[in-house]
Amino acid sequence: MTVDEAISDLLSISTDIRRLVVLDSDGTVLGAGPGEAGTEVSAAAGGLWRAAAERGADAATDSPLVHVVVDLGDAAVVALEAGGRRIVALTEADRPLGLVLFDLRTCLADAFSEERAPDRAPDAAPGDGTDAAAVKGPS
Amino acid sequence: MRLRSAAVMALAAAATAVALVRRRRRAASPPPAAHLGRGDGSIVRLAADDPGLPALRARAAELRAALETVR
Repeated sequence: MTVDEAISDLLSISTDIRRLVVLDSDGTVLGAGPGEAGTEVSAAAGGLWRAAAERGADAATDSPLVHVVVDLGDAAVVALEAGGRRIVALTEADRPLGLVLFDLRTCLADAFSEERAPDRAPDAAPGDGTDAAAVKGPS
Repeated sequence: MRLRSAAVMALAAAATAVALVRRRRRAASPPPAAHLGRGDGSIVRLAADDPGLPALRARAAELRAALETVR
């Protein structure tokens, strides 16, 4: 499945997510839906991530940030990182957060499932979930 | 019969009381305005009066504006 297909799949099944963009580790836009994304998304996503990391720096743990959700009243902005990539989304307000995060993680896992396939052990059973586990971090 | 209707009324009153307590609890602790999730599974929940929230909201608003152009 390509990045565009994974995005299209997610937008077709989710009523919570309005727009989303998949970014590479250096901020390059890898895919977007339902239209094209400009470089301003990359800059804005980086800005939010840095601000969140700064705010969370005083927490007791030094574990890296994996997701940020900010409620904006009539909508929410969600950013999630997994497997060295980032996915950012604009969602409807007051939606089940766990479900939105799961959907975004699944979209990232699906988008890069072919890329990770050669790393799979030859004796691994198809569909044993190892791919998803590699990309999905704890929520 | 009278005993049965008294029991029903008591149950209804108890249910109303529980609903009221739940509603008050929800009002007393509004949902967090932001979540920061970490790799170890911990979550930092920011309340509406968190001093770090305005900066985070400003960045989130910029990202929202950028995402709104994806159409």
